[in-house]
Amino acid sequence: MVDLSKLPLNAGLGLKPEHYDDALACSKDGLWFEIHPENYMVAGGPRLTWLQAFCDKFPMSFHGVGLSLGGLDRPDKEHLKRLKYLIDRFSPTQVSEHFAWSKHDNIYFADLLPPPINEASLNRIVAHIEETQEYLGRTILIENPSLYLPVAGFEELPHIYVEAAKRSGAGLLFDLNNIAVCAANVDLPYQSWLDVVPGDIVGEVHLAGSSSRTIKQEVVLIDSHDAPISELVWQIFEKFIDKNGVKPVLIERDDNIPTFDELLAERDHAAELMREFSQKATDV
Amino acid sequence: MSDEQKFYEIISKSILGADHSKLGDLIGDDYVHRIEAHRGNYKMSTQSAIISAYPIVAKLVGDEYISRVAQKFVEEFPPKAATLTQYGDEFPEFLRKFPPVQKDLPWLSAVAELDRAWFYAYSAKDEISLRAETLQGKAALALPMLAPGLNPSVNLLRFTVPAYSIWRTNKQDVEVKPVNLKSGAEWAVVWRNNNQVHHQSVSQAEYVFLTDIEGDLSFANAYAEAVKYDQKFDLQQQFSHWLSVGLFKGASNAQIDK
Repeated sequence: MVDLSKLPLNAGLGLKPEHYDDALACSKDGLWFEIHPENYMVAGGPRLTWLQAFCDKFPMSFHGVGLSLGGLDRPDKEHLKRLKYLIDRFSPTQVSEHFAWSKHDNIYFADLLPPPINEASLNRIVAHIEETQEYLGRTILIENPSLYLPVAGFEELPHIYVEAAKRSGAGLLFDLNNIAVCAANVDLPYQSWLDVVPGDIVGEVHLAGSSSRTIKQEVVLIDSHDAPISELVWQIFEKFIDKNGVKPVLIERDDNIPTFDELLAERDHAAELMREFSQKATDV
Repeated sequence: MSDEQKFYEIISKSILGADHSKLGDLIGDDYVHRIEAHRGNYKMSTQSAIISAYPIVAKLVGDEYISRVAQKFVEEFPPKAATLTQYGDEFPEFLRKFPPVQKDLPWLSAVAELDRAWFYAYSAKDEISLRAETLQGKAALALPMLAPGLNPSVNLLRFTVPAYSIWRTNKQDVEVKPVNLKSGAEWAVVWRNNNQVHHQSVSQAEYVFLTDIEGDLSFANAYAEAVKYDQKFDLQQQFSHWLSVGLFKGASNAQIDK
């Protein structure tokens, strides 16, 4: 019997509709799945039927992209209501959101934008996280953003990200591809994140691929989730588990989606690294 | 406006392409071009949402055309909510008023209505349909007075052009069949039964009958309206068919007895 009350210390996969049949039939030990709840905010129909089937069988993480916690405005009441409905109905093992904004002046930007890096912004984000947690009746994890723009004070981003979690009582969803993207785009070394992020409040780790886009003759690394995980991100992952031990790890893929078996192979690689580390730790 | 407000205003306007003259104040003039990364994400996500939501429209006009039209639509109707799977309700109406489409493809907005109806049916509230078993043993005389309404997944559509024929052949035929664009008006129904979306062409009388049932008229009253359009309208046959495919809303025994 699979324990649905917590994410296993193992590797999971982002669930895509293209993979529903294969994924539901998969019986890999320790496998879990993550969805974006926004894709399931519908009145009824097959999407919710599938979601129920997965929630009955696997530990599930609901990873939101639309609350705009880093925005100027308070979290949208209607969005919170729809999220709470899904959480109450499907009882996911874990819920997470982003340290970023995606909505302003009633326009949704379908992107995860960096908030201002200062005390006023930190206070506002903490208030938004607290309001969300209070409304949902549970704590959430917060994911660190990618940076393409060197917004003022970006060097302090790891600190205020961690501080927001500590003050609000939220946990961290630590995305290692995002720190590789920050390193490439704004010279924020990934080590500065690894030094600051406390492993004990990390509830989940994300691994994903990125792609390069040339903008005015400059190569910008985009957090596109459309490619296999890069060698650099695998190296950062090993450093992370070496320092903090194993955590539930998710392989994200949102575009240019390969077969389920290809994604599963990437997931198995992460699971194998985690097993090797755990074995080493036991031997010591 | 506070510095905080300015931060969000400047980035928002820069992404929308309206004004990025002040972006340099936030990130330095040497990095202003980087906004293209976010602008590209916004453009790609919103256009993809429209293209995914209107697959037959996209198939009919091709990748380049749908991308351009979707971009124009997004400029006029930017998304307001994070539920992008539901974004684009206004797209059929936008197409209807969009001059190049009006001129060259006057039937395209009607095809878009069918794409939207498919999504509405797919994602409508789960509700039990009226079943023959529920009606067993009920007085035959009571049935004409029953006004069950329609299952919430049902979408009734009427067109002045053969939009359903165009949509259907492009959706389901391996080899798309030619459609005579002068063949006149069409009526269609799109609904979900047993978690699968179904669709079919209906006559004008059937459309009137189902529209009246949707408006909570009784079978008898809906029949009285339908027969005005088709004197041979067969209530028994219509009732049996639509009952068997789950079109009517489930009624309780109490409602039926009442």
